[in-house]
Amino acid sequence: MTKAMALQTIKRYFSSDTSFSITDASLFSRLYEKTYLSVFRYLYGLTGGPLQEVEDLTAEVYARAWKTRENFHGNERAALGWMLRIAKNLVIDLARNRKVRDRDEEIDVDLLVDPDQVPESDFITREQIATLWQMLSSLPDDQREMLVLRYILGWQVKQITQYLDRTENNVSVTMRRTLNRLQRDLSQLQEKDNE
Amino acid sequence: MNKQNLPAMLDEIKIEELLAKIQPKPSARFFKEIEQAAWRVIPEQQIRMKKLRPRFTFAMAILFLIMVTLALTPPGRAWAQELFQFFKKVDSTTIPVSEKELEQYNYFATSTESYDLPLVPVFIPTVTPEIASLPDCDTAEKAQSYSCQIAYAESQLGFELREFPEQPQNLEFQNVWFDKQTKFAMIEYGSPGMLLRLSQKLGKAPEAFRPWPWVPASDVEKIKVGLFDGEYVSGGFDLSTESGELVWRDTTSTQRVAWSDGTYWYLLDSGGPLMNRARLIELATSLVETPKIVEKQPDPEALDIILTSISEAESYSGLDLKAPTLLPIGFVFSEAHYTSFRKNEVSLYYEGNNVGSNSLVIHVKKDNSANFDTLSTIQENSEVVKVNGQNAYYDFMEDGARPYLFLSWQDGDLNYRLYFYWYNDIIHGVIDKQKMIAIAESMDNINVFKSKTPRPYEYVKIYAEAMNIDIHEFSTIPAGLSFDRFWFDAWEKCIGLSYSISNTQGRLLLNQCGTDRLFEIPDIPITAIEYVKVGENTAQYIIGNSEYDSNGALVWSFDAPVQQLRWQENGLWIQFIVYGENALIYDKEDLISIAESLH
Repeated sequence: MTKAMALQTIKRYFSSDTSFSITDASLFSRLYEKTYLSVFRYLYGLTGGPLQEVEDLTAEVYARAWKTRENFHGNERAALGWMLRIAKNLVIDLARNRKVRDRDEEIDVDLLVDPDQVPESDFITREQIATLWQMLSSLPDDQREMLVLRYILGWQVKQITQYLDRTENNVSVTMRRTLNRLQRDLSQLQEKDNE
Repeated sequence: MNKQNLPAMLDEIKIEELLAKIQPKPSARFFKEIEQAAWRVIPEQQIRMKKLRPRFTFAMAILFLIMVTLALTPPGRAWAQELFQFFKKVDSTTIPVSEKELEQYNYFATSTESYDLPLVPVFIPTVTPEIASLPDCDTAEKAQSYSCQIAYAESQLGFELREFPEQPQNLEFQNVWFDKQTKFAMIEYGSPGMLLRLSQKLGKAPEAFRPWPWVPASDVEKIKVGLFDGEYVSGGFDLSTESGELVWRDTTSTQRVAWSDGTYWYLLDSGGPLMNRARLIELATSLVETPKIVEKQPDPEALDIILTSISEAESYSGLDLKAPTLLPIGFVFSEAHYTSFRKNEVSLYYEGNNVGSNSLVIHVKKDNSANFDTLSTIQENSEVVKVNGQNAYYDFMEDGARPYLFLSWQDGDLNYRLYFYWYNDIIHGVIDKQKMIAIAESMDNINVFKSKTPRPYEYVKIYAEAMNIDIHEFSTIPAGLSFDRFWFDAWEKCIGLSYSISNTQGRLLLNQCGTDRLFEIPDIPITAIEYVKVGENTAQYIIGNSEYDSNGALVWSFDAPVQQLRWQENGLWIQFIVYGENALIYDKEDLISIAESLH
């Protein structure tokens, strides 16, 4: 058996429909442990916060997934995609019902970064991240979602294409354009500030 | 915002780097909320129950101590009658907390300390002659039934317990606790997220432990329980870390009914969301001496069947199961789960009684599709290990709210998966990869079952050795004492032995610990301490005990019938406590003499 085949075997073993049924609460719990950070960060990225609302939404994702668990069939990765779709629907519902958020609300960088990676003393990076975070919220939903998946969740482009059901070229081009746009907006912001 | 820092961002790669640094994490609030989720509650019943249990056990110890201290002594009895009818009432919705208590509360609330759980041989109960002589209780497994446990408690207490006419809906019998000296018993029921306890005592109400018996006078409702007067209260005192005091919370998740029929005192208390006032009073009114208890058999058509022994799990699943003969200290078999639409699978649940919270689950499935000989690692933390010389799969997750260790191996056509979980945000006992493997390799054809039987004295030495404490024992138990039970704790590294004192309602406790954690608790005034010699060692001899005054504040009572002797010897903290009615038949010299007879 080749290494690739062995890998498939173990993946099937831990991810097949039968052994990876999430109707079993202990397995659902295990799935939660493996996925909650991704779901939470995805929701944070899409909504922009506030933290408590994102936490409530994350809890709601798992509550809905648990209620409809009988409908799910697939492996672990598919389960994460399923969770994210539930999350996305919640965000859409939220946007429908919520008034426009005040864009100028204070951004707490401590909630966004790992203090070991970006210590308080590195105020330049923290300012930059705060600015970038604010700009993310001004992006169209699909562009923001791609950046969240690519950078905040750390997905590969191929994974994103499967999840969003788009071509690799489409995802790559859209992301490149979005980065360009952010770069351009930041330049304009700087110029405006210098005036 | 200071835009002077922005020029450095104009590079696209830099933007990518910054985006990747955005890694938000949920707050502690989120994890607490998740713990209440329906899917979290269902499989974690035993964990929730266990989280209550250490506090409960500690509280029970205090309860027994105070019961005999207060309710059974003449001055205490008069005080008790004067101060409360059924609940002890205060005129305030807050109760002060001493700095020492606050420090302890805060420590348990915030500490994430981990400690090692050694492996010990699995405890398989045997039936005692006293229980075996009861009708249909002749085997250890039968002796665990509700009928046998209640009949045994009644035979020891010397009176008939009042019981529910039938098992309360959606609740399972958990255990019956009793103290034959003080004539007190507590029957405990539970279900996921729900707790119901029926306490009863011959005579007057016992003084109980804080914060439970204290209620604001304005929150007590006078009720009738059948023909008898009683009181109902909804809510409880909770520690407010902001104000550093106990604050009354008016919540239906804690409800209590207390009453007396003139001969016995009763308390029915519930925890969890599924109880209401009318139902609780209805249950209180329904008590009978001779219930129609039918031992429930699992419904083979039910989707999720909870079984109480390995042999039952074998019978339902059709699998020839093995179970561990080595377990982390404190762990016992809790239950097995069988799902009727998965014919060849079963899950075995084990729970611990350790400080903090953790659980051990073994999922067994008839499946030989995994080829462990050619496994590659598919996750960062996974690796191929050996179990009984054969390849097996191991992985772990040590961060997040509910980390775990995982081991999967093959035994014939059965695939075993062992999970060890714990909560990261509280004090927790842990094991490591080698212990996971040792548990797997200890699997054998044994039958274990959910036990309500205390461990016998033979386990004292085994547990002490496992915790690496060199305890002292009596070569001959001193005249007038008889061994009752023992407790142990791997976090404190303690073994505690309890002895009855003949012809009294008192007890002698002998605690021996490898740490000083147990001895941190009381604030003892210096005037209560006398220094004496126990052999070559200097010991503290202490008279009196901490008690709560009418305002709920903790004060030292020199009149309490409690005396203790404690000292340190070769890294071991040793404590003798004598308490209860007639406890002072032992004087200081007697206690020292008993202490010096330890080897």
